[in-house]
Amino acid sequence: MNYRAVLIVGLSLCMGVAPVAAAAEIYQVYLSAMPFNDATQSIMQGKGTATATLEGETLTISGSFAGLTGPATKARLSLSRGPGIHGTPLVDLTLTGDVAGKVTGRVKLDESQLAALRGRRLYIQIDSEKAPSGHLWGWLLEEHDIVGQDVPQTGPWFLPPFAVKTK
Amino acid sequence: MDSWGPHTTQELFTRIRTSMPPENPDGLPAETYASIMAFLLKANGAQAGSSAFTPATNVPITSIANGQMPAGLIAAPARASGGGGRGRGGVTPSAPPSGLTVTGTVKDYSPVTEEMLARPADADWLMHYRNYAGWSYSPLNQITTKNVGNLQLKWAWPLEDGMRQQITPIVHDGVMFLSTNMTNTVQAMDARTGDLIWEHRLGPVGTAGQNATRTMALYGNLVFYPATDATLYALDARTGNVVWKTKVSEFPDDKIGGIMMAKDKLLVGLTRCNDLDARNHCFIAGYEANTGKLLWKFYTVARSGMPGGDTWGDLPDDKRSGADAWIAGTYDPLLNLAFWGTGQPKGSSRNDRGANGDALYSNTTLALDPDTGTLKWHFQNAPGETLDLDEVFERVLIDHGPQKTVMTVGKAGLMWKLDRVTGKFLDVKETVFQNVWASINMTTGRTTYRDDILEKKPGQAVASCPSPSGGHNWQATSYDPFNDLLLIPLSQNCAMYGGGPQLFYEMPGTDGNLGRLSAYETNTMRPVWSFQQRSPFLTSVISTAGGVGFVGDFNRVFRAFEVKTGKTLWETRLPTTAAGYPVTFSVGGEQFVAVPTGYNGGSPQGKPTTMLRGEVQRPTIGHGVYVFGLPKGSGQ
Repeated sequence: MNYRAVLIVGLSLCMGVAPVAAAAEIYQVYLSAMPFNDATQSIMQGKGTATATLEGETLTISGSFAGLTGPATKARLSLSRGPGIHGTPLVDLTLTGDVAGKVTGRVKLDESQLAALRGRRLYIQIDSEKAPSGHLWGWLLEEHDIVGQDVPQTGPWFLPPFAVKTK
Repeated sequence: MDSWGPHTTQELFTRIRTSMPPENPDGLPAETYASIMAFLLKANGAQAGSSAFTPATNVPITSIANGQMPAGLIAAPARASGGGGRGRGGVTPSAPPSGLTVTGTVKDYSPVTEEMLARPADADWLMHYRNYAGWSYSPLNQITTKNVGNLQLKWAWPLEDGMRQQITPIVHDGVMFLSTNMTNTVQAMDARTGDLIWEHRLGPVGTAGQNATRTMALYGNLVFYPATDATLYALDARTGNVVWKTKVSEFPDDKIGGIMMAKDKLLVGLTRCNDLDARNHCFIAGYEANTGKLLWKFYTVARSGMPGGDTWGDLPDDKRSGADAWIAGTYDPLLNLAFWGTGQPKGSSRNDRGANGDALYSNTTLALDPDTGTLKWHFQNAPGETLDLDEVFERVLIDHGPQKTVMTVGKAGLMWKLDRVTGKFLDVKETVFQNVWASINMTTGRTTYRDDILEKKPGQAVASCPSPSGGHNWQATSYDPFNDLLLIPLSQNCAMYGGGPQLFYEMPGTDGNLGRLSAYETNTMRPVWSFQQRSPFLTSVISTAGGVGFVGDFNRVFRAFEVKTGKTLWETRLPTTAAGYPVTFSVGGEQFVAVPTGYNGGSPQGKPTTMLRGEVQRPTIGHGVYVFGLPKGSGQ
């Protein structure tokens, strides 16, 4: 359970109100350039952020981006093996704007998709005219503290877990 | 043709692609590599066919080339010097000076003894990591968290631009020994004033120089220097005269990786031994320091019929390569064991080398007897490595009460803790995000790759976080014994690897911060603090008894920070990227901090060069050493 969920439940109990059936889960997304090299670096510009809120089985996505080198053409929620690994499209998202814009969506997730969300295997991908196979991407990661550049963060800090630890 | 004739065009193509250009392997378009291959084939007598050469072309080289260069490609003989050559203005550049070009004598030099090596004087930075245990920690405490903000430049010294520059200035008795691999020049400086005492230009000049000479070593009256042509020199530390020299390898591409002293033995690691020849494998060797006599070699590739030889499957010995010893080891005088890491097997991917086994002793921690080269134990940190993620870096020796441990961090960013008496796995922790290991057995330390990495087909790219630039790389950690903190410079980028030129991207969860400096309490493996920034750190870290640490970065910043908290206390800008190994030392009661700069250098610089193009500007010149101290009368 993340800090925001703890806060909601705690406030509900303090106020004598019955706790909500299931607290919202918050996920945050950094949208950054998909893989590039020297030849494509000048095209693969731009970045963005998004937030995804899971209430029950419904995931609501809201984000923005800017700095693309060509108009955005498509946005989708995709499924992968884990953060940083290409996957396959799951569902289209709503895209507005041009080289800067917004991405939104409301998706009902089934059981396996819920597991994928909680396993950090869902990501947002935005295509553009300059990069039709993918321009920006970012994984839905549980809400975590972000400190600004040049500010030390005292541990433990957030590293998306990936490897399964076995005995 | 002698070396490559028996191989296929695809093998040679892969070799060129994964090793060239030296500063950015795999960094050129596939068509460029194909053009280079086509030229090489033509220059060896191959006739143009009806279809273009592509990366997928895979035929035996001897089936199309005979090794005879066509007449049209044979160059005119070079003109003799002074004959109105083809240089600018018709003047042939004169040969650079060579030999002992500046003569002088270090006064009152104390021979370095085994006792000094075991317990270095506070004022000295006597070896690569300052002490045998690999701490990169100095007991000097004149520069403190309170006065470090007053640091000012005391002197600076240029080093030749060109090749990779990642040196460690070594300091003993107020003398700083510097080297530059561009010309294989060794210099002795007055460490307080910056005056040059002697200079020896050993040469060769402007060799491929693709490796960096990160290490030198001292013993007796000798300073040891590993030249880029794999010649190991022992110079008189007082005068720069050559006392002895020896060729560590006769294979032309081989380079000396790292050198270190262990008592009276000089240990030398060999790297880039990639000739795909049954006789050419990397090794760690022991030399008698006073004479240069070779005492032993430990080959880091297990060959057929030897212990561990079956871990390469049926691969013939001439196809077993890698396990480079490109980083200097550490030494425990009580156990009389030297601890070295090795690099990944080569070809760097299982597809390239055609074997799925563990490939001993690649990516392994080795415990060797420095007197005999006998392997006492080994622990393979990354069995059967396939993504160019080395586990070769410094082995740091840390005691927790009676428990003697050896710790290291590899490119995958895993921080390992082993029992250094037995090699038993104790613990491991991820220090950056990684997605290559799907599971880690916390009883044995055995790592298992993601399925799609194991199932990867030739030419197919797979996602690798971290990228081959490493979560951690040659930029060494520092261990602060008073706070039990291991300070680790980390890089946060990912790559699509194995399907042609690498493609880079930001590491998930980092918000584009390519650099991270983290502190872990080693007894508990507990994260204590972490500091992120856009530019990666490209020097090693040092810490001091004054509670101050130092580190430099890609964006020319040299920074002092509080070891306990990571808080920045002071920073300055340097002419170009800070690269190499900062040191601190004292002369005449005055503490100094020195940091090298260097523009070029492998994937830790190559990947941010691409990722930060247009955002971070770095001059391509400005190699040097910059020495800082407190103002006279200010806090000394």
